[in-house]
Amino acid sequence: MTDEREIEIEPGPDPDLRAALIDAFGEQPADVDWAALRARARSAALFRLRARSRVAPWWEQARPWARRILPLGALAAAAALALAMLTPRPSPGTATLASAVTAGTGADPIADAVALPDANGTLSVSVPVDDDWLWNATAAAHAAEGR
Amino acid sequence: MTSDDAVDAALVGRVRGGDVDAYDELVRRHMQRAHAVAFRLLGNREDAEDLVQDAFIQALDKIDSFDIERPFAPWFFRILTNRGLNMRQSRALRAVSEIPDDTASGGESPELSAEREELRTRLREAVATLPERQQLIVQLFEIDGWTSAEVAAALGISDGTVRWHVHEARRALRAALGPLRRQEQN
Repeated sequence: MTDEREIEIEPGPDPDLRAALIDAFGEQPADVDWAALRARARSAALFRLRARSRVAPWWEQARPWARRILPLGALAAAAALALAMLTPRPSPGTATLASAVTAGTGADPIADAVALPDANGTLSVSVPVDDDWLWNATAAAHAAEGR
Repeated sequence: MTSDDAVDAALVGRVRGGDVDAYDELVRRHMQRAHAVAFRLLGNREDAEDLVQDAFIQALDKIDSFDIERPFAPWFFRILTNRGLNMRQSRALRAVSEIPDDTASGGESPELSAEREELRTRLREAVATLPERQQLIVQLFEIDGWTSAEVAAALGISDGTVRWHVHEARRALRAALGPLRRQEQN
């Protein structure tokens, strides 16, 4: 708690009081060696200043940038996720399974199941990519065998 | 912030990185006023020089906590005055002040010399009864000729508050010295 107040007008000089104060406390010394004082202050601080100027480890160097880089990284990740979700996928029925290489060789039972020779005897088929394609193809193969 | 404050802020930024030249320049810019305040706090040149050096080292140790958006001078002078007041209390000062020994002589009669010494003692005692900050303000303002704005900038208070301290100090000192001064004039 303070009882300090404010006064707007600059007090004028009081020569008597000033003279009495100078008599009691003295003037500022006029013969201070400022260059020497400055050199003293500098040499006293050298060790501390050199410690500050050493190469900081990477985590200290990165600290000032972290505040900017972390939000940018989060933003980039969100943008990548949004882009992945918005990119159109191939629609069902358009994918082609080229299974001629393995069909009929016994190496790939699924390919064998779906591969039917066409009119020219070629073992390559177009397989509609939907949930029932394998079931339908297998059923068709069995039906053909039974015929 | 003034342009001086902006220069100080730039220097402080470099000092934080260990720039010796920036520290040297910061010392150069503030050392004379720092010495003036230190001299008023401690009363002799050698102690004042020790205090100035000590205050700059303290400021360097605390430089990371300094808010670079604010003026450097009041922050630094707060360190200086706090250290100075502590030193004044704990250290056996070499002298009350650097008053030349021949101040009271110079052809004065023994009676007049005794009266002047009495006045000096009474004034020192009267100043010592003032609040510590007021002691510093009245000496910087009355003896060293600082304006209230200069004192305010150094101590981080308003100009008006400095003027109020000067007004209060003058009133107290005139009251303490009144009888002696009237006696001296007769």
